Amino acid sequence: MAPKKDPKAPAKKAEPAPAPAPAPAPEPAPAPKAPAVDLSAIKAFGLFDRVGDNKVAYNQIADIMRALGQNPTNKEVNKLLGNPSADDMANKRVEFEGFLPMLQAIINSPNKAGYEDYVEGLRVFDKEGNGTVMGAELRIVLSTLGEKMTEAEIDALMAGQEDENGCVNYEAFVKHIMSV
Amino acid sequence: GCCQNSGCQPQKEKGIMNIPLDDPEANRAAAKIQAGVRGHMTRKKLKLEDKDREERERRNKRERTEKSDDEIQHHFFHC
Repeated sequence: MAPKKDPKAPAKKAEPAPAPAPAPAPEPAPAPKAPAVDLSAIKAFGLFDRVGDNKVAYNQIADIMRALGQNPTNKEVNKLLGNPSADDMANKRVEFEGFLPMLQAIINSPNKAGYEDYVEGLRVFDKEGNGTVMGAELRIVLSTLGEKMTEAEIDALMAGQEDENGCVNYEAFVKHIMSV
Repeated sequence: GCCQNSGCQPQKEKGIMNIPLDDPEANRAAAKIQAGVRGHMTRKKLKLEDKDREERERRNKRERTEKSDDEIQHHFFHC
């Protein structure tokens, strides 16, 4: 005869319950991220790791961000790195988990410049208000103001940008800058 | 030196072509442009390096194929 089920007693399980797997450590809530950025970010990060320790040097961080389509100032990156010394920049390394929040900060930066910002920035030097700046003046601006560029960098940049009068149409220049 | 320009602001140091070296606005504008320029130049450089690497790999592949063709011919005719 089948045993009567006691309605008060808890239902007996057919088999003993298997020992529960140890609960995994609770993960911190992931920071919101754009999935597309993650994959290319991982790839770019890997490409820059020349040592093979899954880290990159502080002085590579800005370039990895640039490779990923961002345009951080060196000042912004230094701030994110805690204003490291020159020695730190060359020797300290950071793993991907440390890099990603810095990248996110740059991506989400309210100061991000777009086409209009660059054009407005160059318009400051457009004395005649005719849409052009003197190539020579632009070279001096780039080498003496802001985050100074070297002559070699400026030469590479300006190649083919000046017309026969040595003038640069800055809207075309900005489009060129933003094309890659 | 004494500035003849009526719009001159003697407090601001000016370099060649009246570029205001100490003007925070101008420096901020310059830094933004330079950031965009550095981004562009880094990406351009990486693109070229990628192209170079691909070209080298294509060449290596061709050379390996040609080499093994040569070895096959040599073996066929000389052994």
